[in-house]
Amino acid sequence: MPEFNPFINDFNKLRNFSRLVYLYGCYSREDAELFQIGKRTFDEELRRMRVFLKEDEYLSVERDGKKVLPCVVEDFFKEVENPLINIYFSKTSTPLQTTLFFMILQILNSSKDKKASTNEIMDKIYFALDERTKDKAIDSSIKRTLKEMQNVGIIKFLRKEKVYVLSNTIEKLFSGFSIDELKNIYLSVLFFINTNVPNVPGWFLKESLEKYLLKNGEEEFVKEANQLFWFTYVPHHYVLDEELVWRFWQAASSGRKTKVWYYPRGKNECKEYICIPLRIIYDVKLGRWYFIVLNEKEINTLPASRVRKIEILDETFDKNIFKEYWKVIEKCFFVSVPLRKTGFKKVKLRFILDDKEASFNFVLNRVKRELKDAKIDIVSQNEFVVEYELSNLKEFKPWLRSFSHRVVVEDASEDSSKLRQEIIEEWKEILRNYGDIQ
Amino acid sequence: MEIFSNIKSTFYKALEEIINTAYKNGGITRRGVQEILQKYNCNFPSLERRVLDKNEEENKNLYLLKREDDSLLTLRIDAPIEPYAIDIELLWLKFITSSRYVHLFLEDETIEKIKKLKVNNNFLFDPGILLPKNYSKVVKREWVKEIGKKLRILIHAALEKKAINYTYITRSGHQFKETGIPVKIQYSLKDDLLYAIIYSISSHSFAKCVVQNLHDLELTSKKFTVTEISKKYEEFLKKSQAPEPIILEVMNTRNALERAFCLFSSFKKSARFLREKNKHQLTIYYYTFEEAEVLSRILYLGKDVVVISPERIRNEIISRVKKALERYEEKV
Repeated sequence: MPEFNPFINDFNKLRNFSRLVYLYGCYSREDAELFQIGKRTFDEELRRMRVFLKEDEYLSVERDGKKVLPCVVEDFFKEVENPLINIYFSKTSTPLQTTLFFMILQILNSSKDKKASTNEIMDKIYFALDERTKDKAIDSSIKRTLKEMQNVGIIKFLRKEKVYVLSNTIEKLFSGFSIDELKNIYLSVLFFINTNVPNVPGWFLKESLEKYLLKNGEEEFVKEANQLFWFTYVPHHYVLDEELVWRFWQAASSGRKTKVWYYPRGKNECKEYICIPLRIIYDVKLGRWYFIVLNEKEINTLPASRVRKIEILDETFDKNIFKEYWKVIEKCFFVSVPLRKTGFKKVKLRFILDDKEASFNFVLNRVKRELKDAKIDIVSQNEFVVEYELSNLKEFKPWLRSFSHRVVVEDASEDSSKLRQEIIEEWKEILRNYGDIQ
Repeated sequence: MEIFSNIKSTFYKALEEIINTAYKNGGITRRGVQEILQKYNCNFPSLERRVLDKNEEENKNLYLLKREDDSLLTLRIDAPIEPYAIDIELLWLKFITSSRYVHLFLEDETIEKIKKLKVNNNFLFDPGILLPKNYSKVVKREWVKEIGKKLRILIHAALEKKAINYTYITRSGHQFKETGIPVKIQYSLKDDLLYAIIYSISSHSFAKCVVQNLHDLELTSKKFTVTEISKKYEEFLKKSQAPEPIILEVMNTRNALERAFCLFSSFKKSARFLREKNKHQLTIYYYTFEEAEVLSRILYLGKDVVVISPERIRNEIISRVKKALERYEEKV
């Protein structure tokens, strides 16, 4: 049996398993088969998760008879960090790739003005790796590593001087900033990595700035700053799909088409689509991403959790089409987007606030904020009426239910009546579920 | 632009620390290497052999270190690694300057400097492509500068452990003049508001204040040790834990499961499959001050979930549903 190495190449492996343990939280290896995860995979991935999620901090177990249930434990009234970010620190690399990466960094760090030519870099590496390179040339590997480091922006090739330069040291990048400005940037990074999405690179930046601040004797500040904030009701699983989000975002920003590998609802078979990336919708409350794509004149919404892979194609599209579609996407209550303006349905809602538990202004303001372009008429001190256009009745219902008895759907139009009937039936069904027959 | 990158792996972080430690101290012991690997959860025999060049096959070793004598390893290239950032980190930093909240922490001058930062691969992500939905946007962009001024005094006081004098105006208009120590800055995604958790020196209690409603903030020279306050805060949280968790049964359909688990993802919870009922059981632990929010989330999920216990929460849901149905029977 090969020795266990926690680092991996395929992000999807850890992504899928983390979703099971973190999001669906706490299933035994026997129950995990419900999610098409075999027992052996379960054991191996759980071991991997233990490494990256810091077992003593976030991973715990519960017992249910003979079953052991792993679960991620976090208390957002105490913790700040998103434990799932750690899965982004799990990528493997070959020993040679690793060695060359560090040696190039060391060579440039010790060179005058942090510059060195390809030949200088090669000579120093060959000299340092005498026994490793005595029988085998590694020129092409060195060149490939230089190219990779250039692509991520760590080094830059200066054509005139024909040298590589270490371009992105924190000291050089932020040389025009005072230490107080850097501290404020660090505080803002701590805030935004917990409140603004997407944010995985922000977690990388937090570490880079932290190293620099620690090097400059700011241990006390870093320690205190990390205990300063407290973020509540922030879902953390959005991070699992961020790898895809960045790729989709890059494609849409640069006007390039994408190829998407997607599992349609209720099917286990993966389908491939070539499409124009239009927009990314983030469901803040539920922590879910949706990709809005244009596929042969049809707008489709793909939940990111069902997307396996995205490839950016060379084929381009005219970004002016955004103007045409973005307005319609913004008008929609959620992610269901009709092709034309005629795809909207009018509904009428009456809000009645006659109990002491909810304030009239609080509910009115929430409706104003959350229903864009709604027509609102104040009827009395405890009642107001809302007229609103919807693209999909179904996706509106959870929002309506969260107001419980404080809202009634009116019989104002065919669609409004339909919604009214559906909501009544649903309330009745809930009562039946509780054993209370109406 | 890959964000799942080996450069950011914990193994690379461990190696960077090994190199910098060896450079600083003129070498590193085998034990020292092992301790750093352990610190980064990389203490696996395969990785240790790789770093210490113990594999018989040369291509499995790193050769970053060489054996100086029996106890010491030195660097093959005697140089440290300075902290650096990759392009995507800088692009992200530029991206957050478009957030309505950027002025909470940064002055215009700093924001301008960030915008001018040079990125090697000159690519810009279009922030307009991202569209957040299903949330309440309470704080307006034009209010942020004013909130930022107050927040900076609070942060300063919290970091320096100094007390502040302040006036607080509640939502109902009551005014309080107080002296207290800011303990935490809270951001609630649910209501898009910033709060300061302040420990009052006179009443020895915690107050959760909306930052916008704090006025006449003034930093005092009084310094405090927060160990005692932190203990009190822990006690307060312990006392606020609901006596029993809420047990929900969730229908065994992918959509119902996904919505239920997403909605309660930020709560401490556990789950199991009830084979005989073909349902999933979700146990949610919560604080008493969150009860209204938990009830609203249960209603949001509708017919897909049923509260099994506690009886009081179960009855509360039934009562709210009955009231909702009664509304439809009323002539409005």
